[in-house]
Amino acid sequence: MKNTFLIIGSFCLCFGACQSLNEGINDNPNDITIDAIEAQSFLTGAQLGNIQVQVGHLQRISALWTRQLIGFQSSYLSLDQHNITTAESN
Amino acid sequence: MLKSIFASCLICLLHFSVWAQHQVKGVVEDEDGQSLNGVTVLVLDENTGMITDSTGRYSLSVSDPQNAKIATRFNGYQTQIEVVAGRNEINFVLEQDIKQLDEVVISAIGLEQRSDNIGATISKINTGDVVRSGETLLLNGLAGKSSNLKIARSNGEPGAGSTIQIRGANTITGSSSPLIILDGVPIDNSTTYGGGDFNSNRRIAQSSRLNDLNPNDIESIQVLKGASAASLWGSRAANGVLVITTKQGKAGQLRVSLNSSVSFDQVLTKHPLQTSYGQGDGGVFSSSSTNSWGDKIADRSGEGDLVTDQGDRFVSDDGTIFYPVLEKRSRDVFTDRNFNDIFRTGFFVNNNVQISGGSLRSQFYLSLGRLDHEGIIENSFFDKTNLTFNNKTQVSDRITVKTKASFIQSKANKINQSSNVAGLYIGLLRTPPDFYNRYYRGTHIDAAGVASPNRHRAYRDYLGGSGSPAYNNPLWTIYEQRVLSTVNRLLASSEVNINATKWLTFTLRGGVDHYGDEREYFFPIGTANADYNSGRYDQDIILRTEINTDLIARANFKLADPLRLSVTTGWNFNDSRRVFNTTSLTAFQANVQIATSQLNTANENTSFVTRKRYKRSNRGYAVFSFDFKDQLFVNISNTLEASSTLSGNFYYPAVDLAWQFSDILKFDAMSFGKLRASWGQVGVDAAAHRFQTLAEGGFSYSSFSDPLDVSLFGGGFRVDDDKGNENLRPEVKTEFEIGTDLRFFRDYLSFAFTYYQNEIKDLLYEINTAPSTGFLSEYKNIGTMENKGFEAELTYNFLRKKDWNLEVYGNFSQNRNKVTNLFGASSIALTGGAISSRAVEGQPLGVLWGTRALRDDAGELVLDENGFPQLNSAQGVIGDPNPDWRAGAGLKASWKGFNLNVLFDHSQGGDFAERTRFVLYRFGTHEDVGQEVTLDQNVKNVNGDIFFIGETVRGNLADFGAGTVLLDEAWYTTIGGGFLSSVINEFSIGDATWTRLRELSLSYTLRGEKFKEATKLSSINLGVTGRNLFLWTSLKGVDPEINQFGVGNGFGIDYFTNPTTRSLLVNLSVNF
Repeated sequence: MKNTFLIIGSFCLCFGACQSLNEGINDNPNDITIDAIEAQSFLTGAQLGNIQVQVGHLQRISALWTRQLIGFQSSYLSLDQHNITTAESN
Repeated sequence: MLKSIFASCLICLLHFSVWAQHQVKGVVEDEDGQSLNGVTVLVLDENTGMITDSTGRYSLSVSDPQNAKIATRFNGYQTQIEVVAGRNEINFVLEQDIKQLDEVVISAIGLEQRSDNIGATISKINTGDVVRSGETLLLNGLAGKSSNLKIARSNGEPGAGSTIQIRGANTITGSSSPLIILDGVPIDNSTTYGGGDFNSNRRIAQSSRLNDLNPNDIESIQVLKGASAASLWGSRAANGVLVITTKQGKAGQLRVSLNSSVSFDQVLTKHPLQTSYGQGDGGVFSSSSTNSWGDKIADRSGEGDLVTDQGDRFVSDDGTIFYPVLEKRSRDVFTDRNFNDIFRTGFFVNNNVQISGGSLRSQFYLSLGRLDHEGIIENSFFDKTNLTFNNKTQVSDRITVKTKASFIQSKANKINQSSNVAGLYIGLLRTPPDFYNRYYRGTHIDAAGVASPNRHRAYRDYLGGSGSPAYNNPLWTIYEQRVLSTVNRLLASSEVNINATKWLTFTLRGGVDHYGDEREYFFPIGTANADYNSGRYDQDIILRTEINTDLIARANFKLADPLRLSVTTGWNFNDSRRVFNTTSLTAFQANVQIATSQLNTANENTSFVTRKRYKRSNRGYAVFSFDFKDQLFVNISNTLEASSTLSGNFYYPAVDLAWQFSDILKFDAMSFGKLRASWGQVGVDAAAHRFQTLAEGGFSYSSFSDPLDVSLFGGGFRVDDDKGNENLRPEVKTEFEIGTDLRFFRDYLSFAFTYYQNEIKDLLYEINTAPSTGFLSEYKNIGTMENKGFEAELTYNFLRKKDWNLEVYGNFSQNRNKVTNLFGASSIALTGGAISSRAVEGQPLGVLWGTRALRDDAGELVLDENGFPQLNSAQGVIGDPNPDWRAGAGLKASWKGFNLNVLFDHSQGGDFAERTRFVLYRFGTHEDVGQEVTLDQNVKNVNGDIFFIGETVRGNLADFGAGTVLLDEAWYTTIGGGFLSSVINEFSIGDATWTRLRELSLSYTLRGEKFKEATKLSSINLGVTGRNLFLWTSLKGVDPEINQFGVGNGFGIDYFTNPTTRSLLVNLSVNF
């Protein structure tokens, strides 16, 4: 009986899972990590983002609403009338 | 085994001690006419007997030549008794004892278990039924054979994939396919879209990888439905497990069997089209119109069309010339001819050779299968070759080695379909009845005499002048375009079993599943779709390898009589890699049919995308199985898993309990009774590679007409707006089930019932984040969902006589799914399209979502001043495609050598989005909109125009609640028919209830001694099977099983999707 429990106990010791075997497997092979890219490569993106903010769509809306511009037709007409959609607010 | 050898030796000894008075000899064979070696043949009450030799022969002497009885005994076969009655030759044909074989089931880790000792729900599918069904694709052969097992083929093309789901949906964004275990090793059953098949609204009917297997090679299939049976597979087990075991050779004589089938396939459902009105609008013919709301064909003069040879013209490849039509005069209607040019009687030839045999120590099985399938659509085909080799060798008394290997090659051409203007049905079904599609390619010559060869002619460009007809001519779709796929797959596994001591066994198992799928999408210059118009060639290379290893130890202990314990511990390692590369080439510089990179060598016309996916996991498990008095069984399983896609180790516990109460509570009629209950947790893995927040390129700011695309500014990167998540956990399903297995009347009636309920927590999906976090979305464990249901299976062998055998069988299942919480996400789209299938809080998964009719708070339609419904452009739930319940019922009858099998399959309730019908209303080609009505009262149409009593007008009368109104062109071409979100899509929803005669088969088997002497063959079986012969549904022209979005979690939508088939199959098998 004692032996039986000893054997069962040793069986249970085998039971386990090992995370270290999976090390690095989930690192994305399709995209580049942020650290691996030279900082200057982010600059273009940031500049574009800045253009978008400074002279992009939101800027046009504020120009419409401060009466610096007038929305004449299609979507700018409706923006001129203060009708905004989720595209503007998100 | 030992016991029977000992008994046989004893019998042999006895045999020699008795003097012969009357000699009886004969042959013992199985149902296939194969002689059986090692069968004990006994003379009852005389203690004599012998074992049959390798040719199945025996010879005995009996003391009473009249009344002596001879009986056979053989493991796995039914005992037979014959009275000698003076005969000198008695032959036996033994029937397999199916009940005895049924007792053993294979667990999720590939070990044999006695089914009566298990507390989890396991359904076994008889492979004879799968093979007899004549389905060349394994998945389709399983349809209707088990409760709560949903198999839905995506369409009727040869080799098309099927959705498979056990007990409803268990995940929103993950895969719903169950885990497939082939001889203890997991194999891939993915259906891969993407690459050249880049638009989910127009998916090609790609193959499901399980269909690579040859149904003829399979010994048994089991469906492990509940969480507890599957929990050893941790995060891969939430969708249940299909355990498939392949055939193994048997010791004895070499067995050869040949099996050939031919099948004839037809279109099962045909969209009904009108043949009364021509191309045009407002009742006037127009050769440039998109619609068929033109003039009444019968009112035309009937002469040839008035044409002019001044101006441009089209010279078809066969020389037929088309001139501009000045006046349409011809009454010719081409609807049937257009259809028959596309569809044919599909045909396949399927040949299989199986050779097996071996000695007592080593047995082998070798099989070769070849399928050539020509689909119902011209030019579509699917060919497959299977080669399989299995061997089992007992190396020593303690060590057994099993090796299995199979190689599969398949080739297919699929037809473009669904929401694709270069697809088949959009071009065909929208073609006006007075337009003939046959002359689809030729040379366009303009008024100045300039010729443009290889032009595409279709009904929206009948002189081929533009080089880009808005919709393909369907003949162009099938003959000029191609979607080829070539798959090479290798499945191999090896297993070593070591019986270390009487109570301890080790199993070492390794397996590999590798395939390559090479796909070629080719669209020549002039194809309608803007994506393909200048010519497009995509090549997909999909390579996938999965390696799996198991180390298992099993030990049996006697704890304290009568309590026994067996412990199984194991460790599993699994690694899978998939690389999916797509190369695309656009703007061909030569109008040829050859797929080569020379078509355009400019870099800017070539693109290359690679998607890699690596996953690895390992898990340790321990199962403690307690057995008390061979009556009460408790299994406790524990699994600890580390998966590369999840952070940390996760523990999956399960307990099941089986009580064979018939051991205590005895009833006369009941031969076996078991109560079972189980509880378990299983998971769904996260998508791979979602831990990190990465850099992304190729982005663009501003969605207006002033895009700021980074690639136009010298390229660069930004931080991805999808946030990585390092704390991903599995989606965890916790399931409780309770059920019973009962057998009555000496096992002639068996019945199983199970009730289950489960809750799935931590569902993974991308949820929008506040933009102030710097990210737009994050992949997170967040939602919850539940399923409740019950399932029942019954077989009743109610008549069993010498020549007659009658059995009824059936299954019933019901599953109620509900998405209980999405934590703020209003809905999650499972598909695209104007009607999409979605996850919506408080609704079953997959509900149909689209534009509705305006309704008041009471749910009544809000009508306009003319009495018509109005569009509510805010989308919402418009239907639920999940059925209320499903059932299958059948009859098996046999009389002498004849066998009959009938199987009906029924699905009750649920909704189906008949978008094809609804869109054809707008185009005026559907039969429903080709009717005339003579008015018996004044009615208004949607524009408020009044039509007077006595007038005959084209359209239908309807009453939305404010009196009779006329549904005419003005209604069907605005909000009462058509596509996008500007129509009331709610009105395209139909009732998805269907019943089908899934199978009707009749076969005859020839065998016996005389037959064998005359032909040298063991047996011949000739059978005829009808598949899907009848479909009863209220839907017109569509099989509600098909799905625009192919294999996936969203379903219940048709949009010009290729049709399904009915088949008639003739099968001949010969056993040597």
